[in-house]
Amino acid sequence: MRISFLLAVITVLASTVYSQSKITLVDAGNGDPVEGALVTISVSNAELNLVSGDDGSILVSAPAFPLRLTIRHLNYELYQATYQDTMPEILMLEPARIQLNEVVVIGQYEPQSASNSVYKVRTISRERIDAQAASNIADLLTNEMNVRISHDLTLGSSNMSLQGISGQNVKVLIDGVPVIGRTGSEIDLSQLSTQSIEKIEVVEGPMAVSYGSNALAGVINIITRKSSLHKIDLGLTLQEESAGREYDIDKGLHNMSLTAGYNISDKWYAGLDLGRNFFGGFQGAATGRNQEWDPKTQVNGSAIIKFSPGSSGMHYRLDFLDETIRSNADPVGLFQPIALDEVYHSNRYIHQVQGGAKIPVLGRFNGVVSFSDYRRIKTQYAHNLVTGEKPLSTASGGQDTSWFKTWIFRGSVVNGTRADRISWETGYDINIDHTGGGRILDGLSRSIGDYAIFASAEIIPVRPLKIRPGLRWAYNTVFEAPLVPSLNLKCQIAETADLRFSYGKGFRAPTLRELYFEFIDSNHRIFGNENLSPENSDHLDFSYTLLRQLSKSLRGQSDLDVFYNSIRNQITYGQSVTDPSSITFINVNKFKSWGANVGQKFIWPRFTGQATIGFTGRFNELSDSMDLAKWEYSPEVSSRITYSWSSRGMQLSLFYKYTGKVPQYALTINDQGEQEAFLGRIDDYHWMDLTVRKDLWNHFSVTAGIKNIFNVTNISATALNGGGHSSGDGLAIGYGRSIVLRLTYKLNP
Amino acid sequence: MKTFGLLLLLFLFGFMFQACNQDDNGPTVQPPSEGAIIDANVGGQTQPNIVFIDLSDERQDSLNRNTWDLAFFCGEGSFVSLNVATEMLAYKLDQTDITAVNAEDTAGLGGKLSLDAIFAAAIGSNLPDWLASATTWTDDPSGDLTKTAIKSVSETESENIVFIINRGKSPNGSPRGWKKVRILRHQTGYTVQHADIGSADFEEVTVPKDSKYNFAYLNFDDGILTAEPENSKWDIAFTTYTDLTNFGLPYNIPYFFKDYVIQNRSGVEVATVMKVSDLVMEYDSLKIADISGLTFSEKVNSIGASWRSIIPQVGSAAVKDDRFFVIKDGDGNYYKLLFTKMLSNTGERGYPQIQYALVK
Repeated sequence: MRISFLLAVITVLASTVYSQSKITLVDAGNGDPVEGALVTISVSNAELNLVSGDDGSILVSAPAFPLRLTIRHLNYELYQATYQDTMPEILMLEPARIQLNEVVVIGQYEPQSASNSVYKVRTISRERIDAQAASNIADLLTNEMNVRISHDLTLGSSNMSLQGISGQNVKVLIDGVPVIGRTGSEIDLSQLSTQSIEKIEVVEGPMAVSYGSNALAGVINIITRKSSLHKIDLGLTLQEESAGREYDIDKGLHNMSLTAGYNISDKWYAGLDLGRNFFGGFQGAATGRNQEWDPKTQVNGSAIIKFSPGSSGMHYRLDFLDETIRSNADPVGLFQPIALDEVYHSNRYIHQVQGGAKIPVLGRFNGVVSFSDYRRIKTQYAHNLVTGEKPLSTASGGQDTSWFKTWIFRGSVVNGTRADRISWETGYDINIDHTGGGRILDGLSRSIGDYAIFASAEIIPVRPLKIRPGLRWAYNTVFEAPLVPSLNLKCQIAETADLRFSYGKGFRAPTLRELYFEFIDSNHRIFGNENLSPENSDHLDFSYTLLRQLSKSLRGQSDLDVFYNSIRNQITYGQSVTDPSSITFINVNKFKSWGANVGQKFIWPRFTGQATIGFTGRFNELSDSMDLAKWEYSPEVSSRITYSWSSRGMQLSLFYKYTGKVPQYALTINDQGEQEAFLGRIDDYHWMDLTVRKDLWNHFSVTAGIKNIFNVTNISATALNGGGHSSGDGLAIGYGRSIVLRLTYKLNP
Repeated sequence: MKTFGLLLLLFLFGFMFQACNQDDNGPTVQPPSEGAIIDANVGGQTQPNIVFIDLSDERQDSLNRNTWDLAFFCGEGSFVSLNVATEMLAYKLDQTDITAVNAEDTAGLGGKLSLDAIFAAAIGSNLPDWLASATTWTDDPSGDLTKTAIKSVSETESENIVFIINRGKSPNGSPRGWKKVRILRHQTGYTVQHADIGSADFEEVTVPKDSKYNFAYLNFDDGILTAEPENSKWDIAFTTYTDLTNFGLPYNIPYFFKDYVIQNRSGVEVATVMKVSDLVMEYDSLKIADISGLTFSEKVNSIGASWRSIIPQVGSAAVKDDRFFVIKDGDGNYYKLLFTKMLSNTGERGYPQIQYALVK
């Protein structure tokens, strides 16, 4: 990131040659040189922008005095000073206590501050992950605004919805590469561990021009750690957590992880991380051998090797996951000690090679080649509880393997810099998916290829206004891919106030499952539909951000966000037209949502407080035919409070989210035998986590806390219709109030 | 003293002789079974057999569910029952002349007159109007003969209407085809007119009542057959069945069940006993004195599918260990009954087992 920052724009307005003077920027805290600071030198009639090198120095061609110096760096406080005749050789920069304005990469031509991005990007920092003691992405997003996390206790997966839109419309990326292995139709967020994450970017609204299918409700980009400031980096984390009141050697959570980085030379870097997350399950109200939450063990890790000579660079990264979920059952008969125990074993490997280089004339090229392999094996045993024998069960549907393999080839050329009036990006994006398994038609593997080209431009017609139109065209081997346009506008109406408007089309491609599924038993005949069209959406978003220095030590940020989504051709189960005795997937449903959020953040040197309040409205389809309210609204509140005593190396963090009631109309029959609508609902709940971190000696820190303070387990949900089977009468939210203790060792804190 | 001893001996002898004599005279009456364990021969995964069980006789008789189509009531009244074990459905036309019915009258039925089509329609987000009436295409699962799909057969010929029948599926899943059927009374029994849908002719079969049986059975292809045991010779039966089920819709729909249990409508009654803490202990300790506190039901599906549970998402199945049943048979014996197995030892369905004991 720093290296790319170094490549950042240097605008030279003053062209007169003077003699040179050198200024070195150093960290006031530790004396280290500060690399990548943007230094603006203003003289009476001109302005010069420079970026500090890796030794923290800038060379200024003998300047004309008086001059004004402005130094901006994300990790340091703004430095401004006017010099009448000489400049100091060394300038101390105060480390910024809070990074208000993060660097973002998603959808950007080059990394830049979030305030300059035409997209509204939310970032979740490493500090936040640590403060929340979140082991996986599902935990981490629990408190996020407009996000709802749900847990499928049968499959053992955790899914999300964003702005009321289900998670199959959210694209999850690791360093810009889509994660594969949808359980059901969604990525299991609990399979994404946090240990190698540097930060996470969340974009609400479609990014279909850049990322194609499924980037309809939004994109979550996981950015991994790829460099170190030190020769050797080493980190160890141990985390112990209770599952509600359950904790023992084989109960609760026992997680450990190791991260390591090594700068082999100034051009080569190698990194490694390994983690093991053990969850003993949660018995809850379940009896016998059953558990409400099944036990789960994950072993995961990644390895990276990076070569970065000068301005170009390249890295290879491998991510792997090995997950085992054990679902123990009670005996199937009364005096028959046979239990149909199930084991779900998932494996995922993601290989990716990413590189960037400057190509003469064309501009800067960034490319990715990636291969992902995901496999989920369900094994059912006829476990004899008396003899201990465990032969495979011969029950129908007892054994199943499903697998996915995906090749991705993606690249783009960026021409121009953000200082130019026009800069643009053109690129290609090729995705080739293969899938197979017991429930795919003919038992064969099926494949689908998507070949796309995309282009966008950032145009600055007048200074505060930035316009970004984009277009994506794709050829798909199975269905007709839609032409996807987008338009983003950003207007800096004051130095610290930004208005953003975006319009985008998005789409969700039918999955291979929806195209080629096959399942027949005595009660069900379900087939995929090869003639499906993609789901299409329109998304509008308007946002306003205001940053203010309220006093010398108080800064504030105010946000307003309004969004509207409309999805057509939603794919759902339906009766087949060609074979009415079978169920297939059809394009039928409409979905609309809109909502608004208002947020306020205050930052004092020690104290940060943030609160957002908002609502999401979902369109009530029954209002088309009945006299009912058109929209059903559910409120949300999210708040984070942090207090740090940096002198004592302590920090207190509070995370709170109120997830409001979701009203939902469903049909029923009244006493007169007439159909009528009744208002059901998914209940509301409060979620709160509280943690305290204390640094010990030089290398250790301890985090202790309480998660799920309001002791939420299941919430009731009525009117969850939609046919088929529903699994029980509540939604699993958590396993109750839990205690967490985390010990971290860092070689270089 | 000697005389007294002799007298006593004689008396005892006489008593024993008398008892033997009673046994040897007239019909042989076996004492009712004290209890047994029975593995019902349902036939494995596809469950091809309906298994009738006589508890007092420790006996099972099986009937392949694929061998018949309609069952004609032999008791009071004229009623017809469908073979709900093969997913059979019947659709009423407004025509009394069976020869006048042709393919046009069945237009659209292919898309709704089958359990698969009904389920497919129910799963979609736009429920078709016809779906609510699908409950009338099958027999009421409680066994109430006034609520069968074909209803009662009228004395007045012109009131007996032609039905389109989807014969459902055989145990291996293959379709059993379609028929048009009209049923009339014939003396105390029935006359059945049936034909393939496009056919201009029809076959006519006379089905007499035999009061030894609950029902007389007819196969459209092979005619009348003896199927179930005499009505005094069975109590409960394992079968596949079409029940009415709620899928979160505003009405129930017919849905196919395996591992279903029905009871004999001739005098058999069933009570369900929910466990308080220890099922087997409570089962063991149930005495005849406890019977008066139980509620007995004459619905043929009193047990139904309530003895086992299925988790559809993972396809796992098990016997429910929270209840046992008390069955009053036609002779007035009370049996307490536990379902002990539903699956084979490797998890396959179609291997049910019961254990029962005479309540004293």
